[in-house]
This record gives sequence, structure tokens and C-alpha cells, in this order.
Amino acid sequence: MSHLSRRLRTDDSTSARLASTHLPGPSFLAANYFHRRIGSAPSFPITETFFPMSHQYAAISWNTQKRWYDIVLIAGIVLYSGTFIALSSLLHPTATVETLIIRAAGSCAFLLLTVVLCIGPLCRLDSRFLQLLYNRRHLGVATFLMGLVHGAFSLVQFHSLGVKDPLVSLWTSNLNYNRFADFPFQPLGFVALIILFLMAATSHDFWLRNLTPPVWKALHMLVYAAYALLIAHITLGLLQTERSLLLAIAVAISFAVVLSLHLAAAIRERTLDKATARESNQTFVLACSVDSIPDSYAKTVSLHGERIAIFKYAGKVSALSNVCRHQNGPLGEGKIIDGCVTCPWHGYQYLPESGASPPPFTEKVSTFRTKIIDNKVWVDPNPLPPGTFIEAASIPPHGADESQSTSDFYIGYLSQSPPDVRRRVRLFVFGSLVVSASIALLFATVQEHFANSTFEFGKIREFHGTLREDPYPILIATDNAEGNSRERLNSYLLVAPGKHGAEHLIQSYKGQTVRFKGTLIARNEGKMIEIVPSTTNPDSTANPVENGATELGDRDLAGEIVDTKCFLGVMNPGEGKVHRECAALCLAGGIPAALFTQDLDGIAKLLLLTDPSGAPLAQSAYVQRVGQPVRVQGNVFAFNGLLYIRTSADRISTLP
Amino acid sequence: MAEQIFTIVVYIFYAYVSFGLLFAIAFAWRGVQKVDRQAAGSGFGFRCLILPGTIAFWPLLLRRWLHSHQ
Repeated sequence: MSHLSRRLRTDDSTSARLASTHLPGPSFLAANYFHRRIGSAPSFPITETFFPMSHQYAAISWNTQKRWYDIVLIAGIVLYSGTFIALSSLLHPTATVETLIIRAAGSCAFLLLTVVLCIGPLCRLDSRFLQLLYNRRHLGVATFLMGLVHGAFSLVQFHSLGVKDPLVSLWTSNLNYNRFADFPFQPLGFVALIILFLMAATSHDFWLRNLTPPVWKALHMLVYAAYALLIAHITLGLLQTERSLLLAIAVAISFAVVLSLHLAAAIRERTLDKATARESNQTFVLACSVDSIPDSYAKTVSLHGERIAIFKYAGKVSALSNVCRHQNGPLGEGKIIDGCVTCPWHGYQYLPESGASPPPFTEKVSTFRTKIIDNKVWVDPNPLPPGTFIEAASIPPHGADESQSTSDFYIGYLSQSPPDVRRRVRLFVFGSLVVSASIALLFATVQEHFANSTFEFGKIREFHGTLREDPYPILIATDNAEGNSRERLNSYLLVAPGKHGAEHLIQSYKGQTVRFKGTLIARNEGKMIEIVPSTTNPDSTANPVENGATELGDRDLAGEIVDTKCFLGVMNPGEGKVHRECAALCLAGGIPAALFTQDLDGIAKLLLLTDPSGAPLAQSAYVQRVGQPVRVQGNVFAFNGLLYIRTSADRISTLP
Repeated sequence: MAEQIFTIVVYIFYAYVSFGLLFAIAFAWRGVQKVDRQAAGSGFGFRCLILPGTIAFWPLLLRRWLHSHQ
């Protein structure tokens, strides 16, 4: 009990609180640790002279284990993201890089969160996983950062450059909050990201102290809410577009692993609780036999609903609360090191007889009165006020053989972990990397929803032809704008940059022959130009011959209402549930709306939506049905190479 | 109606974050050592680390900072 003067804190918090007394003998390791943390170079013995600012938040030093932890973490993220993006680019060359980044970062964040959630119960089931708990906050912050990449790219891709504020668009572009299948999935991901942000932002002992431990713990327990939100986000989003059974199975397995590990840990603790003796001797309750407690370790029992850690050390037995004041770590899974109960999570220490941290630290846990009768430990389950000194119960000589070895107990500040821990952790890390790479391969392979479309982003061409508004802005060109040697009639839908229609850009030139610059967007036979503003000029050289309108009769079609700009190639995929919110924003900005159907004479076609008079169909008629299977009845026309369907709100319905 | 409500909520959120950002800079510079004595003399890195959380929890810290003056 002579080494009560230091804290074996092995977490990554920046509170470098040092001892104010001498650290003789075996304290060298701890003193050296603090020396590294504080970044100064005192000679031993350490005294308060060297650490006048011992109660201060200071940057923590790195050690070998921390470096390896972060190297493996970063390597895993790079391996996963790189494998996914490289393979996806190879298998789906038309997929846009933004889509691949969004999917790589999002799935990586989900995988990391799954691992984060598994570590806790794994450590409860097998203490050899404790090394994974050390620096778990780095894993958590990495999860948030990958989620942030996913969220930022998604917000820019789907909700920026439109007629609404991006966050307003996020919450209002799909208002089907009352229907489960159509429920907007992006707000779910946003809320999950906010939770991960709060956890990452408060991942520091300053917040633990200033929010108070119960509030801090409650805040960090929200990780389970975030995980549930992400499961819903994936199920209602990606899995409704990429309908691969394998992908759904992979998500289900990750959920099952998290759930089963938590259940297993809970069942184990419940079993241990039930195994606790029930004999009662007035105020004292029979807790366990002395021999059932390993030397320098504890046995955790649950008496009257209170979890109590009974430690055996130096021929004595003491009982104190199982809950560490730092992050509610399980003290009963810790060890007596240098006379102090040492929490396995982050190395917080308490004196076993008083439950108080050695000075100058102030944390205290409750203690319990103990006595030993016939080699059995009896405990008074009524907790004494935290920090109350209770003399330890002495063990008859045969049971008082304390081992000073720390070889089997994980200590984060040492340069190497115990061999058994090292083997187990290496196996886990290797398995995780293999599983991650396999998931990246699987995810990249099963994606199917990429169209053969083009958006020549950054490539400006010159176009010329006649501007029409029938009723959407189109350019009818008879030149070889696409480099064809043979002149032919081409009809291009026209749009402005961002999520805006082109009406305002062609207002002054309707019916005129013009020349302007723009970027080509194309998907199969459908073509569109994103006009470069202020480049339109009258041009008398082109004089296209227009085709007359051809009525194709009444049709009853099944398909999906899309915004033509994204659908034709600006985004890929530019349709389906994952794109619904973006489509709604584009349509609100004046991008022509169309029905994408594969039922018209068995050929995939795009039919622009108009009302019965031929004017653009009011958005209210279809905006809540965008991106989902619909049935549209109407009169179909072909005009200047484009197809139109004249319909109305009452002739559009959602298909089951 | 729903869109208007969401719009109002989002702009309140922007206002909260904007004020939080301004407060966080002032707090990390002058306030943190008054609220938490352990932060006295802390380095630039520590003050940067607490910025995001301060933006999120500025009402709590503002109250403590004000109480520290009393």
C-alpha cells in the first residue's frame, strides 16, 4: 500500500493529473509514464517539485500501443474504402465518383460503429479483448469522421444548388413521414450523425467533468439510438434501391452480431448474479468463498441489486462498488496493482479499504463492510458513503498469497501487452480486416443500379439550333454538335446549372436560332444540355426543320417519375428511393419532370409530363410520388424526337 | 405547413450554431479557465479540442461562466 500516489490512466484523455508525492520503487513505470505524458524530463524520484501543474488538461504522449492502434485503424479505413472504390470503378465505370465516396464512407462508418459496439461486450466476456477498449475513442471519432464525409457529400450532392436551403431540403423534400415504406431515410442518417458528433465532441475528460459523469454517460449511451437510426437509414434507403439479398444479409448479420454479443454479456452477468449466495446472517450476506477470488483480483457479486467488487489482496478482502467513477467501468474486472484497485478500462485507481483515489485525486466509490467466517466472505450489502474507510477482513494464512505479477493484466501505457492479449487482439484485428475487405468486395460487386449515362462535367461544347418551349425548354439542332459527320435532327432538353430549369436563360430567345455554350448530358437516346449562363447569342446560320407532333394514343403506363437532369446522367443512380429527395428539389427548381417507363412497347422510354392542355404539369400533381413506382394514364405524343404524356393528378397513382 | 415548421426549426438551428461558434471562440480564449480550474494554463490544442463541444453545449457553459463571475 505504499504506492498510492499515482494513477495508471491508460485512456486517451488529456487530463494529465500527476501525483504530488514521491514515487519510490515499483512506481518507476508509472512515473515514467507520466513523464512521457507531460513531455518533460524529470529525474527520479518524482516529486511535486517537478509537477506543479498536476491538475491540468495536457496533451497525452503516444506510446507503441497507441501508434499501432491508430495505424491499424487508418489502414483498415483505407483498405476498405480503397477496395470498394477501386472495384466499383472497375465494375461500374459510369458510376459517379461522388456516389462511390458517399457509399464507401457511409458503409465504412457503419462497419466501424458495429465494431465499436462489439468491443464493450467482448471485453465483458473475455478480458483479453481489453486492448481494443483502450483508445476506443479514436475508433469512435473515426466513425464520426467517416459519417461526416458521407453526410457532407450527400448534402452537397442531393440538397445543394437548389431553390431551398440544403437542410430545409433534407427535411422537406420528402414529406411522407406517415408511410413506413416511403419514410424519408436521409433525416434518420442526419440525426444519427448529430449523435455521433455530440459523442465525438465530448470525447474528452473536460466534458466528463463538466457535464458530470451521469449526463456524460447518458449522452454516450445514445450510441445505441444512433445505431438503430443507421439500421433504419440503410433499410429505408440503400436496400430499397440496391435490392441485393446478399447486401441485406450482410446488414442483418452485423446487427445480429451486435445484438447477440450484448445478450451474451447480459446473460453472463445475470448468471453470475444468480450464482451469488443467498444466505443471510442478519445484515451480512454470504457473497462467495475466499478461494473463489483469484489473488489480486476480484469477484463481482450482486447483492440487493448492488454490484459489489470483492477484492482479495495481501491476505485481506475488501469490497467496494463495481462502478468506476470515470466512465462507469467495471472495477471488479480490474486488478490490484501497487496496492490500488485499478479499473481495467482506463486505469483509474482506488484504495481498496476506503474506495478513495489516492491524493491528490478526488474520485470516491462506495465501500462495503466485509467479514470472513469459515473461509467464506460475508458482505453487508448496504453501501457506505463513498470514500468511507473500512478495515479489510483478514484471510486465514492459507489463502493470502498475493501475486505481484501483472503479466496477465492489460496495461495500456506499457509498450507491449501480455502475450495472451496480444495473440487474441491480433486475431481479432486480422479477422476484422478480412471481413471488412470481404464486405467491400461484396458491396462493390452486388451494386446494380448504375445506368449507362454521361455527364461531361468540365467539358464545354458549343451548340446551335432553334430554342423552343414545348412546354419545356429544348434546343432543336440540325448540326453535328456531337461530332457526327452526318447532319441529323437532335432535340436537347435544356437546363441551367445546379438544380434549376432553363426558362430564365432562354426567355429572350424563344423561337429564335441561337448559339450558346453548354455541357452535354446523355443517357441512351435522351440528351440534355446544361447551358453556361450568358453565352447565348442569336445565330442565323442554323435553320432546323421541325417534325410535326404525332399522337400515339391513350396509354396506361407503369414506371417512375424522375427529374430529367439527374436521370439523364448528372447523377448515377439518378432514380429510385436513394435519389428521391434530390429529384424533388430538382423538380421544384424547374427541371423537366418525366415518367421513366419500360412498358411502352417493351422499350425503355422517357415521357415528359404535361397537363391535358400541353403545359407543364403542376408539381403538386406528382411531387409526393417521385422516386417510387407509379401508374400514369394519359395521351402520348411524339414531337421533335421527344415523347410527352398529357395527364393530370387524378390519373397518377402510386403502385404497391 | 409542415415545410414552414421545418424551415423555422432549421433556421433556429443555424442561429444556435452561429451563436455557439462565436461563444466557443470567446470561451476557449477566456472562459474555460474560469469554469474549470483544471483548464488554467492549458495549451492551444486543448482549447481547439473543446471547440466543437462548446458549440453544442454553449448554453450550459454560458451559465457556468456567468455564475463564475458571481
